[in-house]
Amino acid sequence: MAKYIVKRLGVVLIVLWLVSTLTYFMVHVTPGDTAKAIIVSVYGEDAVSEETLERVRDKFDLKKPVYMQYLEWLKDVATGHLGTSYKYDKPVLEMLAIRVPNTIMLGGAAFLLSVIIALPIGILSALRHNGILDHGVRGFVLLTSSFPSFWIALILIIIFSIRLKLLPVSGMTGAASIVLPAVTLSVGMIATTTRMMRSSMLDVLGQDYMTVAKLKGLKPGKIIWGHAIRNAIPPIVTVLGLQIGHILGGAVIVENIFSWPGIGALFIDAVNAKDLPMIEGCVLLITFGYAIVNVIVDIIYACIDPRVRYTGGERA
Amino acid sequence: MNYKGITKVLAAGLCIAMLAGCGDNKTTEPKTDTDVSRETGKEKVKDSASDEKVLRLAFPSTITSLDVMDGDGATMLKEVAGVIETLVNVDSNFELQPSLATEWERTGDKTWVFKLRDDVTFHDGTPFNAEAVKWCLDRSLKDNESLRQTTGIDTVEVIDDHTVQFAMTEATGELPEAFTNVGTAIVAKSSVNDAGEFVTAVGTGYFKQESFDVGSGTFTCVPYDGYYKDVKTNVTERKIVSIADASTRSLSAQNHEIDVATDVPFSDLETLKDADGIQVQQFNTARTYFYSYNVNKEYLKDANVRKALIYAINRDELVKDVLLGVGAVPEGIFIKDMPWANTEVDNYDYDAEKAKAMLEAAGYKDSDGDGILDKDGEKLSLNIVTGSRRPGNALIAQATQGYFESIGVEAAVEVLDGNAYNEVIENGSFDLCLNSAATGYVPSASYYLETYYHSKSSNGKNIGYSNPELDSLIEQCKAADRGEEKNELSRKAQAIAQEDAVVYTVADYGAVFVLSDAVENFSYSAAVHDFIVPNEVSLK
Amino acid sequence: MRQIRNFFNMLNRKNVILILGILITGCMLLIVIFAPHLEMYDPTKMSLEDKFIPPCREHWFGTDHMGRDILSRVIEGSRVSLTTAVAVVLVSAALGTGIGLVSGFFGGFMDMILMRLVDVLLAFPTIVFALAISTLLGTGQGNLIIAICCVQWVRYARIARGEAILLKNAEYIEAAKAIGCSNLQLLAKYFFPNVISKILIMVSLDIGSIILYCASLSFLGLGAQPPSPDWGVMISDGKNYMQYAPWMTLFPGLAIAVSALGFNMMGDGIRDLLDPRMREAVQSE
Repeated sequence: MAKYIVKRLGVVLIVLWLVSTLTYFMVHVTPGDTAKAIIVSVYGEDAVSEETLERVRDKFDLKKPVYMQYLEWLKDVATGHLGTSYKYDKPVLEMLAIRVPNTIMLGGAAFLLSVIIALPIGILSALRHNGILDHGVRGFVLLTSSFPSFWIALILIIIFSIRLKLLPVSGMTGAASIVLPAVTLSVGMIATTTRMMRSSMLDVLGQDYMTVAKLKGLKPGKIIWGHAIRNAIPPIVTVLGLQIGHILGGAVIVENIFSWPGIGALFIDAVNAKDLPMIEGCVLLITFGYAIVNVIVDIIYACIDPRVRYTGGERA
Repeated sequence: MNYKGITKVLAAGLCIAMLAGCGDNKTTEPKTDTDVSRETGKEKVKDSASDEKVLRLAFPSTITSLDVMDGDGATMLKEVAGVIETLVNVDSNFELQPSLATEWERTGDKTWVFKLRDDVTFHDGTPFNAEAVKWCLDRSLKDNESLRQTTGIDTVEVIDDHTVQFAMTEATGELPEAFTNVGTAIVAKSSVNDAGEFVTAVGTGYFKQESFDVGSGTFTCVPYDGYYKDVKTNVTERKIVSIADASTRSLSAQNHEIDVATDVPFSDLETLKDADGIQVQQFNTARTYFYSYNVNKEYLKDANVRKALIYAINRDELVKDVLLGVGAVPEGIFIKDMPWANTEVDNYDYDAEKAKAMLEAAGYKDSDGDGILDKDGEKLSLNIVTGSRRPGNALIAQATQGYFESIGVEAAVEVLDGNAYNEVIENGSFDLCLNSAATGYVPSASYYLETYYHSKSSNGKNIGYSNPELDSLIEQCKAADRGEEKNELSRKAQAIAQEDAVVYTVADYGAVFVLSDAVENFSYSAAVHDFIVPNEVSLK
Repeated sequence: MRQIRNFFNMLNRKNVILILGILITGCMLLIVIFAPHLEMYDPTKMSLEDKFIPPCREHWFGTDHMGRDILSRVIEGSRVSLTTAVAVVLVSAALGTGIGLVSGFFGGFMDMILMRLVDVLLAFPTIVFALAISTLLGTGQGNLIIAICCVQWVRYARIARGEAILLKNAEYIEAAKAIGCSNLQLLAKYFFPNVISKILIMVSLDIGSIILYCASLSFLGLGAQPPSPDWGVMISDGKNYMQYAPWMTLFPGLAIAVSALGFNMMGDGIRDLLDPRMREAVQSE
């Protein structure tokens, strides 16, 4: 088991290195003068002069060739320094640390919500295959995966904040303010998870051992709880891991609309201001979070399903 | 045994869920103890029935730092929170008023002496004196290049405990004006920790910092006992929430989550006029929307083409129907409340026929019958670029496109942000650019002209605008001392600039405020940077 | 109750979802082709005296802040939004299939490198990566297409590669090699036809979500620019008038949803039709 974990963590490190290098070069070959971009975003256009350009180039080490900058940056990242934000003139790591809890809070709420709703519905609709509920669920899944999340967000705001005046709309102003962004974020996940739960359950129901169990004369309740659900859940754990990616992608849009001060909003900010260290920091963090969660999922999966450990850990 | 399996699975699922949600406790707890009554609006109203009076304000951008050198943070601290103060203030008539400085004098071409109040203490109890001013300004000037350029200060010298002398890099009559700028606010040494990082805003204002949650950009402050003036207000706390999105600000105010919100959508003026518990108001500020022609382009060097295109824009309709009445039709460059404004200039009021005639006289005809004017085989086609920060930019640019189309001129609009915008401006691939700027950023007769019309300004350089006569008038105006003579120089410069029609003011800025009915004594000054919340604001 | 269930089962056998999906997509296609004939007003012409008219007989979807007819804009917008999405899917499918086939066919070091790259790109939420790329490219419709393609091709490459590896060892391929088919001929004659059906299912399943991605990025201001009647741009225009003129947000949003729904239903239906496991499940009922 330990060997398996070490191996998976090794892969994470390699992925992280590749991603960081990719983003680093991607944003650093951008046309345009980085030094000027910094001055304009921090002090405004009027502050641009030869003298200030020079000072900024010195301060942010922009004079060296790109590969030298890259090597130094890599060294910094390895030792936990992500550089200084051009826009905020503060360490990137510090900014990220401030925002991460907010995103985790929002993502966690959305995740819980989607699991609580999606799993039972998925199981029920598989048990009543082609029943009314099943058709309803299929319709719901199709519908929700067809609406853009930013539009759902705006409609929720119109209904719950403006018309009914039930929930607050502004950023983080208390417990109630998390409801709308979390619901918006969970809609897409509910659709995917329900669909996966349903098809995983259908898969299991079609297996021979289910027929055997029936023939053995076990009570239907016991068959379903003891055999069907037990076997249908493990593949879902993997799906849930992949959902973390949806949360992170969705957070970019949802945080932006609800003014939720998380990583997503920070990232959009950085993209607009071309705040290179911040963009790199955000991308690195998002990849890291995603990769780590997937390792954890793999480990949990390996615990549930021992076959995985011996077949080298390739997931289905 | 089977059930055991299920529990295992469920436990595993919960583990992931908790992992994902483990931040909950950490982040919610500090929030609840900084502000116990941070619930929905309705509960808030009940709260204010007791002696706690919390004034909740929305700030239109996300505050990430309280450092006085940081533009947004300092604006919030001075104008909205009332925590920090500057040496000089400007009133709504654009006259200078003493603040931390009691009087000032220009002692030479390049020297100024300021006398300071002697009854002021910082929030940490230390006295406000010449040493404190020198320490703070030295720090700000060292790290903030823009401030150094705006103020033109070379060195700061302590004369005695309450007298400071400033040496300037060039002859300027405008140091007191520059000292109204939020970037020059004075904070105590204890604002900065040993590592040189700005940690707390220790200012001299009526309110002192209570807490700042950098994660959500929420700032709270409470009255300071040792304030040097009597302030009549029943507010026991000000809470400033960062809300960057205009619609969100408006909705929060409608839901009674905040008491004052500014720069809400223009349409709120109509939508909310009968809403319960709130009122909407519109104010016009000393801020303009202005077009700059890229006169590096050969065809735009013809003043008649430039003027013809201005005649095509219906500014009355623009303000009434596009900005929905939020703003004003400009008479010249400055708003007329400014003492140096020259309103006796030609504004090229809307006249589509005249526009067409002038273009025809300049040689433009629709020779191929496609509805678009052309000359020497080249279509008259313009690229308009603008930024997204100010609410009217994209709207005005889109409307201009429509007006141009109706006289047979093709136009494309690009709404760009930050560096993408700069790149277009830098490589010159635009014909017209639309900007928004505060004419009273430094409330002087020359500042705005120097920043956008002078050939050495970045705007002047970008568009290739140079008129030596105008440059010289602006320079003379800047060097002159405050007074009618200086204003007259500025007026002359404005007349020339308007005649050139290279930089052209298309609308004056307006802002819509949503105020809770509970708010009393709120007043508005056109002279401030964004909006000011006077110390006297109270709650019913 | 039983009758209702029978009714649903009957519909299911006839693949009602697929048919509905094809119908909706077909209508969308017709709208895209005949857009100029369907528009009652000029979709970009400003007429300020007609601004903010709520939906009525003359303007079914109302008018926007510049007095432009929203129905005409939504129709014209189908050309911008749907062509963008279709372009993204086609380009990334072609690119991904090509790279995947070649990589799987030849294997070796290149294959290994490529698959690591695929892993890396899959480790990213699409939106995040597309945003990062847009830093490099700037805004605009063309750049938006490139940005999404950069992420999306990976999905096709992975499928194509898998298929290629499976096929490589098939007997008839060995036979074809024996009679002297060149690698290029092998790829074109045997591999491509085998992989194309899977890729097509994938395309039909993906296109709905691609429409949403494009709309999201346009909404964030990275795609087509404001005067253009792109649906995402229209929603972001309407956001500031959400209370005053909700129809400005409502209708472009519905247009996005309906077209994404059409493609999703079609994709779902095709998958049901072709995925044997699902068919069995239906038959065993």
